[in-house]
Amino acid sequence: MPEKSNFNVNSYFKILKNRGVKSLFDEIKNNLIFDLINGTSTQIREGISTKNYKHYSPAYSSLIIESIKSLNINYRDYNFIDLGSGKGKVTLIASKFRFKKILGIEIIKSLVQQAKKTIKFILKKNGIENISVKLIIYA
Amino acid sequence: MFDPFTDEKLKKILKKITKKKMFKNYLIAFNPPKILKKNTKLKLTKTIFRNTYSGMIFEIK
Repeated sequence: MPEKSNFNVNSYFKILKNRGVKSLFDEIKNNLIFDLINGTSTQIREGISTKNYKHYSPAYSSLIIESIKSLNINYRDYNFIDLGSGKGKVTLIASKFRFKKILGIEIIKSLVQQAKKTIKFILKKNGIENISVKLIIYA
Repeated sequence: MFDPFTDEKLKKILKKITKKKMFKNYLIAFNPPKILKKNTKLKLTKTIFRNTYSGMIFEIK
């Protein structure tokens, strides 16, 4: 089982206060609802930014889907590589497009372990078992 | 999306990616650094905006 969704009301109040209603709506639509549907916890930012590393933050699901769709390619002929895969949100979305192979690369070990659990659970739940999804640690 | 690589590391990775020319390859970057836009081996084909985030699709020449 993946970990429980770590919904945090305060972070959404902060978004409303600092960035306005439109941003709040986008965050809910692209992050919160994605997590509720898939049983993931990708919405909360984690880690501290340093000189060489910036904290984990999820990409908007609609932005990922539209970007992949606009490629106009036969997905089965291509491999998908995600540099900085974090909790595996992009890899998870890419798995629905049936790429030949999917590879996620991340430097934080804990994020990779979390992503592995989540992706295994969701692929099994959705009956997607003939796709190769690998997550590795790059240090 | 939030790039964990320094400009130097990214340059090395780009060199490796742009070497292979078997067939058309693509690069999708969310909130990309300027170094990607300036790279001559990458051709920007589409930009998508969502709120404060942007997604750019590059074709590797």
